[in-house]
Order: sequence, then C-alpha cells, then structure tokens
Amino acid sequence: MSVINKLSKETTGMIAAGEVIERPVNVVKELIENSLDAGSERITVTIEKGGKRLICIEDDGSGIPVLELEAAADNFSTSKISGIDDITRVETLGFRGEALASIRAVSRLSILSRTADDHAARKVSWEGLERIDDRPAAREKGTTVTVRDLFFNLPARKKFLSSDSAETRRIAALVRRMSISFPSTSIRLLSDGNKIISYSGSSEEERVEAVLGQGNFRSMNRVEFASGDLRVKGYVSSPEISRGNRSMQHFFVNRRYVRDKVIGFALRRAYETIIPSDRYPLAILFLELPHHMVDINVHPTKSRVKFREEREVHQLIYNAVRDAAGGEKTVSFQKKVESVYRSIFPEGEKGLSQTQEAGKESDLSFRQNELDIRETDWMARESPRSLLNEKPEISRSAELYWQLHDSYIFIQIRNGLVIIDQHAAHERILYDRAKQNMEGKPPSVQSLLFPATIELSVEEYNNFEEFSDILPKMGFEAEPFGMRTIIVRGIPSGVKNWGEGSLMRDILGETGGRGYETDEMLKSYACNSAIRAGEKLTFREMESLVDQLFATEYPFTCPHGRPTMLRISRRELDSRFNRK
Amino acid sequence: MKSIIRLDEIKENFNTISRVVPGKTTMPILSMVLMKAEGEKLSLSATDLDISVTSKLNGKIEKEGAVAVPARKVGEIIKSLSGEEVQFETENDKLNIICGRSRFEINGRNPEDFPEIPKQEKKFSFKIEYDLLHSLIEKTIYAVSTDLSRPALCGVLWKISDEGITMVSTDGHRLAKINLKKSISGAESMDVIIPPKALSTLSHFSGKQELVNVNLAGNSVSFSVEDMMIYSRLLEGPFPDFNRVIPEGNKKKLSVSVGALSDATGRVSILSDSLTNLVVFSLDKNKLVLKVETREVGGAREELDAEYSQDPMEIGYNARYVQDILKTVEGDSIDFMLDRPDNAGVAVPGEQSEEYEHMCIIMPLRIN
Repeated sequence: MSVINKLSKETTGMIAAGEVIERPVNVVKELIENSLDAGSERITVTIEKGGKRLICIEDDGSGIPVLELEAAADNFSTSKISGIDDITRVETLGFRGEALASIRAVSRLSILSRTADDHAARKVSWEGLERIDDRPAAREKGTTVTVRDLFFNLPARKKFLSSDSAETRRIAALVRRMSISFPSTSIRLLSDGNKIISYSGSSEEERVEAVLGQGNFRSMNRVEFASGDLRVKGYVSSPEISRGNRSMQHFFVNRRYVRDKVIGFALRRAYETIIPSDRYPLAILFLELPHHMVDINVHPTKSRVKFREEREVHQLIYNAVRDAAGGEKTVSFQKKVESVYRSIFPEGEKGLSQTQEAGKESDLSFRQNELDIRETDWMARESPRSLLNEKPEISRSAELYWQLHDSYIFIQIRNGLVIIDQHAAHERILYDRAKQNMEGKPPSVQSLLFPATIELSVEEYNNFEEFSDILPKMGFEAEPFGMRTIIVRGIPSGVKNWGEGSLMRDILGETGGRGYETDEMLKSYACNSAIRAGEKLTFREMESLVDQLFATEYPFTCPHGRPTMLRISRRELDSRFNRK
Repeated sequence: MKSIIRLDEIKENFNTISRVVPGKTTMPILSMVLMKAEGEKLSLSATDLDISVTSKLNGKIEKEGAVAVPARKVGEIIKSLSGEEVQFETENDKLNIICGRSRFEINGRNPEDFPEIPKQEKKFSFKIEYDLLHSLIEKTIYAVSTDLSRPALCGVLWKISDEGITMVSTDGHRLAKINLKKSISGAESMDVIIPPKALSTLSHFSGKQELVNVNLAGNSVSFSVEDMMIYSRLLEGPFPDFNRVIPEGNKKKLSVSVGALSDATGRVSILSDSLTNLVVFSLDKNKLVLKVETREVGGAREELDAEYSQDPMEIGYNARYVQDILKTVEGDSIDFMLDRPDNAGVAVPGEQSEEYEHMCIIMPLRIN
C-alpha cells in the first residue's frame, strides 16, 4: 500500500529543473539570457565535452551585488519582475526566476560576480542545493557562472544526452541564433579549447551576414514593414535559394528568439508558388510589437509566444515577406533573373549589349540534394555569342541544348548544367501569361481555321457558363452552340495540346465541383495546355521556351510549386566522379 | 557475300538511307543497315518500321549473301575511305570492308533478325518529275500539324484524280494547297494522307534523278527513283473538308515584294513576343507598315512599298507563319487577298506557275 509523501525540497527542485534544463544547451541559453539582460558587451562561453563536463559563461555585464549573490540562485528569485503584473511588461529575456535555481539543482554551480559598486568580487559555490563554498574573490565588473558536471545527481537524465559533438552543435547553433538579435554584443564560443564562434560587436547587417555566411547573405532581400504598432524587419532569401528544412529560419519577437507557428505559416504562405512546396526559404525576421500584445510566459523555455492578434501578425509578415521575396516590387530579383539568364545564355540576343564581362558571379542555387544542403556559386557568364545571326552560329548554340527522353532540356552552361522540365516550364509561362491577362493585358487570340464544336457534360457546361467572363480574357473565343455544345473560334496563341477541343473539356472538367476558383482554373489551363513530357522539341522551340521561362516572374517553379529546373555545378560533377 | 562496289556511289547512297535509321530506339536491330548481295546488285536497307528505304547499287557480285551491320560505324567508315572501289565480304555475321590498303572487320548480326522490308502490291502508279515533286513537297510539308490527337492532319493529303493532284496540309492555323494540273492516265479518284517523314526523306535524295514512280496500294505508298525505293504506311483519314474554309469573298488585295516582306518581317520580329510571335500588318494606301510592340521588350516598325487601294486596316499574324509562306512562294511578289482583320487571309504568288496553282491560307492573331 502506498503512502503519500511530501517530496523533499531537493526532489521538487530537480523535477522543476527538468522542465527548464533538459540538456547543456538549455543551461547555455539561460545563462546567455542573463548576461544579455545584464547589458553585457562581451560574452565568452566555454564548454567542455559538449557542456556535460563544463559550461562557463563570462560577461562584462552589470554583475550581481555581493549581498544578493546567494539569493540569486534560489527558486523564483529574480531581479527582473516583482509581481505578476510585471510579466506583461517584461522587456528582459528572463523573468521567471527559475534559471539559476534549476541549474543549481542539477549541477555543481559556482557564481563569481562583482558590480561596479562593489569593492571586491564574491564567489559562491554549490553542489546541488548545498552551498559548499563562499568567499571573496577577484574579478572585474561582470559575472562568471561555472556549471560543472551537469546532471551529476540525475544519472537517468544524463543517459539521454547525445554525443559530445552533437551537444556542441546544438550549443553552437543556439549561440549563433541568439547573437543575431544582439549584434552589438561580441560573443565567443570555445569548445574543448577550440574557437567555434567569434563574433565581434557589429551592426545588425554585419551580424546577419556573419551568421548566414557571405554566400547566402548575398541572396537575401531586406524586409521592412510596419502596420500600426506592429513592425517587422529582417531578411528573406530570394526564391532561388532554399533549404530542405527550417534550420535557416530564425524568428525574434522583441529580440527574443522564438519558434512560432504564426510567423512560420505566414512565411510559408508568402513563398507559395514561388518555391517548391517541400522547400523552405532562409529567413531572419525581427518582429517588434508592444509588450502587452504578446504573451511570452507560455512555456518554461520561453521559446513559444502567444500573440493577442494572430491575424494581424500573420498578415503583416505575409505582406512584408511577399514584397521582399521576389514579389512584384523587388527590382533586385528581376535583375538577378536577368543576370542568371545572361549567364546561361550567350549574349547578343534581343538587344542585350555585347559586353565582355566574363567571370561575373551571382549566387543562386536551385537543386534538391538528398545528401545535404550544399552551397553552389552561380555560374559565370558565357562569353557573348550571337544566337540570331547566320546559321553556323545557331548550330553552335544548338549544341548546347539537348532534349532527354523528349521531356527534359539539358543546357550546358559555363560551369555546369541546367536541366529544365519542359512541361513545368511551359506551365509557368502559360500561367503567368494568363495571370497577366486577368490583370488586364489583352490576350492574343489565334483564330482557328476549323472552328471546333465541342459537346460538354452538364458539369463542364456549368463551368463554362460560370467562367464566361474569364475565358475571353484568357483568349478563348467560345460561344454556346445549343444543347451543351459550344463552338470555339479562337484560342490563346501559344497553346499546345489544343487537341481539337479536348483541352476545353480538360480545363472545364477538372473541377472539384463548386467553388472552383479562377486561380485553380488558370493552373488547370496552364497544366493541360502546356507541352507534355514526351513531345519532341526542335532547337528553336527549346530556345524559345527557355527564353520565355526566364521572362516570367518566378521562373524557378511551376504554378503548383514544383521546380522547373535543376542545376548541377561543374564542381558537383567533379566531386561525384571523385575528381576533387 | 562478296561484292565490289564503286566507292563514290555507295558513299552517297549509304548517307541517304542512313537518314531513316532512328537516332534512339529500343530495338537495336533498327540501328542497323541490311546489306544484301543478290544477282548483280548490292542492296542497302534501313527502316524505322514506319518507313523503309532500300537502295540498290550496281557492282561485281562474286558471292551472294547478306548481313545486318551497325549503320553509324559502317557509315563513318565508308565516308572516310578514299579510292575507286570498296570490297565487302562476310564471314558468318562479320563484315570485312577492304579498300586499298585499309581493312575493317565489323561484327554484324544475322540478316534474318532484320525486319522484313514490305513488298508492295502494285495497285496504281504514276510518274512525276523529281524536281517538280521536290518543290511541291516543300510548299506543303511546313503546314503539317504535329498534334497527334488528330492524326490525319499530321500528313499531307494528296487528292488524286485523272485531272491532277491536289495536295493540302494544315495544322488548323494555316493551310497550304497545291493544284497540280497533270493528266494521270488511268487514275482512280483517291485520297491518301502521306506522313511527312516519307516526303522529307524523298526530298533529300540528291543527284541525277529524273522521274519518280509513285505507287499506291491499300494503306501504303512507295516512291521509286532509279534504284532507290521508299516505302511508307499511309495515315488514316478522313482529312477535314478544306474547301469549306477557303474564303471566296476576300476582295482587298495587297501586293508586296516577297524579299522585302521577308527581310522586314525577320527584322521586326526580333522584338516580337516569343510566345505569340505577333506582328501587326498595318495597311494603308500603297503602303504596308509592319509593327511589333511587346511589353517589357520594346517595339519595332518598318514601312514597305505595296499595292493596296482599300480602306486602311490592321491585321495581326504570327510572324513565323508569314515567314513559312514567304519561303515557299516563287517569284518576286506575293498577293494577299484579305477581308476583315478577324477572317482568314489568302496568300498566292504574284504569278502562278503554269504547272500548278499554289495558295496558302493564314489565320490572323487577334489583338482584342
């Protein structure tokens, strides 16, 4: 028969600690937050054995007054708030008063600190809850927190830790991302004597560049947007670079790193149709909003937040990112595409000036790699060559194009290979064209020599009537011809697979019944009327297709979000053949 | 097999029949050429199963026999040789090629594996000058459709009667038509649809051909020129009623120089929209202005002298279709017979040939 026991202070301390401290990285996070809250300009994190043996954080912050040092490590003691009402006003990273207490409960902790007003520093050491040492010591203003033998008293928890190198990676990732929102603080991470990270105090832009790496940073577009009390700024990647996971997405709410579904979802939506649906953009977003509009006390680790106005936040992020991602306004993206285009295709075409500018590089990559994410520097320019002149020139260029299985177009570029999916590419072209038509650009209509009379099913005919205002805008000239039959006299020029009208049935028939939206209809139109896989193309046709693809707004994906092209760099080929 | 053949003759013939050998195939035997020595001739055959070509060469046949050999390798070897004569000799399924002091041994395959070249029954045949047929093929083949959903349009219709042959091709956007005035004795009225590949292979024959013998039987056609023979299946009809769509009432006549129009179209279309190739014909009194305006790209215009006496009007065309027509029109000038900007236009050469009548129909691109 079991008896109900009141748990000892020691046990409850350890249980509570478990909520906050799961692994070394949590210790590092709590301690760096304290250092940042203390206004440090310089933070050094030293770890040994992935933080299992030692975690030591030194800072030059305001320090803990000598007389309060002992209390600092007690449960729910904090200098940051004094009552529950303060929580809604919290402007510091920490506030729960649990961190040091939790760490103390599961490790051998010592704190060495001195404020500007103290004459000397003081050092207090604990082993679990038990204070084992307390003496005056020497140090400059600031605090050194040393955590040894984490979980020495919780062998079960210790077993669940990963390898040293995995824990070190976690810590490094944390330090990197925490450093983003405090660019003026210089921060270093040393692991087993090796320098892993060393960021000196800098501007936000420089810090972001340092964290993302130069190559990535060059493909980032700035985000800046405000609406009412909400403000978002940061960086998002151009559509041509993306990742297979979210590891390069960092969100900060009032400088606090958070994982948040609302922001993540808005980001995702903003990139819909721009990048493939299984790819994730790179993003660093700083959201600023009045403290009362966000609840940060959702989870002990404080990495989740709750917004009072989720919709507003979503809309703000969506608009801001959509603008920057390569949306309507970004000139830089257009320019980039142009430079990509020119780098793939010899110059001298369509009025581009014949300049010798070989070797210029921009940074783009769009391929899926099953191994890991590899940065690929974008191709240098092809040397200028005329495409439209006399025949020998054309055949020379024609050699750079090759159609595989009548489905994929291979194009040799200066330092690698681009593979284009002919169907997806044409789909993108037709979709963009149809969209422009919806926005008022008049369609050009190819009149048919033999007008097609097409008998539709009831559902198809209903859709035909429902879209009677859309179809002419797209370039279809069709009218009822009695008894669910229509006669088509003209079709959008450039359409393939007209198939004597079967295209019309495909478009009108591919409905989910009611609520078939215009956009879905355009997608269906683009998909059904595009060149299919298996159709042989001449060099001219390939050239024209590629030409048109790069004139579209989002050449890298089809309207369904699948990629239109892959690039394999010379370097990758070399390495696959073990040449390098 | 052992045969000795004049090198210059086999060079030319081998090259011609190699055109039929499919570039990619899942049946390796189709990438082979069948060589067969029989009587006084060495015959070479290639097929892609739709079309077969056989060429017979005179030579000294010392021993009859046959072998199938890889078309590309043997073609390359023959092309690279120099001298007067070349000797082909087989040992089992191996072919030896001997020329001067060069000697090659190539592994071939059993000739029995090679698909049988169909023997055509003689049903109805007529003869036509090679040069004339060549030019008629050029004038019709370009408008053939590539849309497989309507196979009949993927070939050229030959409507044969005792008064001549009408040849028509269309892809639904334009149409090309030839009326060959030629009395064909004993011709039954019949419609056949010939695949373009057979016609283009025929038009690649070069040399001294004079007369082509065209033989039609059931669902196949063959063309024989000297010792070359092309055999092809016909496409299934019916071909649409083209007479219905030929406009009768087009009264507005525009006459313009073929060369000038072709050059100008080429120039302005550099800036045309690459999806639609739209170029606008703007007609005014004795003047034709070609205009291109493409959003985000730019624009171009060029003025041409022309004969035109009707009200001003503007019609849009696909520049590529215009160029296709201009390439096939003989003579210095072309006449467009037009009606309204949304109706079919007719194009005919300024002066028709005595042997045949040539016309094209082009559907406009409409800009709303």
